[in-house]
Amino acid sequence: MKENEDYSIFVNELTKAQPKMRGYVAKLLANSPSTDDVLQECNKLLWIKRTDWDTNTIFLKWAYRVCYFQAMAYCRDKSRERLLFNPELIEMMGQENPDEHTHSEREVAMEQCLSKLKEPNREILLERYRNNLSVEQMAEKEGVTANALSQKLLRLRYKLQHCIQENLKSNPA
Amino acid sequence: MKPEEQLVWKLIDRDISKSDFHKLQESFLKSKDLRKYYQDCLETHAVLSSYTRPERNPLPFPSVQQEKKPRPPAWLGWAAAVLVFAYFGLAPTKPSQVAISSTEHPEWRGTQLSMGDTVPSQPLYLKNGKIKLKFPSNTFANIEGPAYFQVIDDQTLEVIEGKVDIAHQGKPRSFSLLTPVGEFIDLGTRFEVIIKNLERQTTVLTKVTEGKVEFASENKSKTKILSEGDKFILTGTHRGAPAIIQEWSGTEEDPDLIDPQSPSADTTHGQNLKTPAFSAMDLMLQGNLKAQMKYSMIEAIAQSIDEKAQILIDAEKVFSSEQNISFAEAAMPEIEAMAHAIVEGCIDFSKLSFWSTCQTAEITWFEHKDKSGKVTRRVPHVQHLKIPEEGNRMLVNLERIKSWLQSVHLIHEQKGLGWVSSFGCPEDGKLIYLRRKNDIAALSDTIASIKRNLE
Repeated sequence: MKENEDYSIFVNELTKAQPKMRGYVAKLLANSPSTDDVLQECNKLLWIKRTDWDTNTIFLKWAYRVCYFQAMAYCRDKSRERLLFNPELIEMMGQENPDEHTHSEREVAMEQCLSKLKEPNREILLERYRNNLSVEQMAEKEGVTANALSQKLLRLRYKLQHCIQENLKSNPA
Repeated sequence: MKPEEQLVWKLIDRDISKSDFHKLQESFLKSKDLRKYYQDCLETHAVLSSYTRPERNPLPFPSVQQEKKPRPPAWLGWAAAVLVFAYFGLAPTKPSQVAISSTEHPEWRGTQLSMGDTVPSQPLYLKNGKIKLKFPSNTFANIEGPAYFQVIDDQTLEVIEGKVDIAHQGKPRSFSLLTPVGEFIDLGTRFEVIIKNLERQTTVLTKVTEGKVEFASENKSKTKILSEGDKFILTGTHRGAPAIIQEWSGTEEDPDLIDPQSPSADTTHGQNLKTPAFSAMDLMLQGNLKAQMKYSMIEAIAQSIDEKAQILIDAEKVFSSEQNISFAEAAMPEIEAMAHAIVEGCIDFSKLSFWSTCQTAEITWFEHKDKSGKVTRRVPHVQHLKIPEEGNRMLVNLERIKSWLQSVHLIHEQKGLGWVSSFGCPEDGKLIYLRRKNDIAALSDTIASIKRNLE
């Protein structure tokens, strides 16, 4: 029964930790398209090592360490990939855990901030993510140059990000 | 926008030149703030992605009324596949007498089971659809996907995530349901639970339709009997930890209550959009167990003070005096006792936050519409009020008590120090006068302190 109990707690914690783990891995890998593959390796390793986890300790801290070593291993194996941080920076970033705010909290903050954007701007921003269109494709659709649209998207995301952070500051985790 | 911040977004888009990448890397090494900005932007990027493409949402547990269920995110499938695969490779299986008695478009991940199959004692993942399990204890369990579960033995079902409806017609205590927050021991009943794992805790929404069920938490050291018609939200981190049991005042049509901030607030066609029964406070404290517990204590104290204050308020409304005395004069012992209990009691009210003593926010809804203008999704937000409302009336009652006390004090000044002494003795009256004066000052300080505690 004890084994089942621990198993249940482990699955629970692993499931809950996924968004945070993904964010952490994405950070170390410069948002590489391989992020999900590395995350998968992390999940596998966490499962194999599940008996090492002391249920009285914070699961995420342990998971971050496993993710860190997996990310390092990935960088070592793919050292010729175009956008890879150097080990010194990965180590530095690896020690800085993501903040305490949950994905849901951030989403609520984001929605409030989105509602403050003008309708056409909001639509442009969401369209960028909704259909996963390239800036060129979107620019063609909007009838503007790719460079102008790219700058506009940068400004909008900057504004949104600033608003979200302010919002989260006023609602600490 | 600083140039480095611009490069951060270019990096996230993977649309950055090699030289800019090196430049940014150097800046990252030098600036902790920039690294923090990068981390925050990545999280916003993830939220935007999942928001616009729900199939990538990290917490996509669908509401119970959705007709179209969003696909679980890729990682969830992987995690499940890893877990199921790894567990099957390692865990021994034993035969059970539990069988699948009916199915409704089941879609499994890992082990596939069909109608009539005996259910092995191992973790199972029902991705979509419904199945009904028949236990030898004369118990039927209807499980609706997405759900993780395991038949532990012929009398025990464990559900880690998902919706399950139990109908137990066998002997009392011959069937139990394990959930991440505790155990339900069936006493001959029909009940339903919806288990949802949030990032920091698990919530179990429970509704007893018939009979009784016992809920046990903290490794069975704490129990509560739930009776027919009872609806509770049980919150906790694991079965060994304390579970918070709150009455669920919502209706069956309130799936949003399970996680009002999640995209599970979706409904497919908009007609089912209901206003769930939760307050802005619930939303503000969601996920913060410590703050929830603190606030529930404050709320209980506020309610207790309000009950007492309400007696005086009602009395004041109907008060009339033949001796031409004021209400404050007539109710002086009660008013003074109440004020004294607050300033000299075991609770330091001055430490209370402003938001916990009145209503500082309300829920507003952000609506998503489809092209035809039909509302497809509503997400609740906390909207801060420009002018706070009474809320739990803690603050308003403290101010009222202070006001009553000041009235009494004024009468005392007018009628002389000997007024409150049963012997007309000025010394007696002076002591009472000074004590009351101190109480008024302490109450004023307390109220001012609360109003300053804006965190």
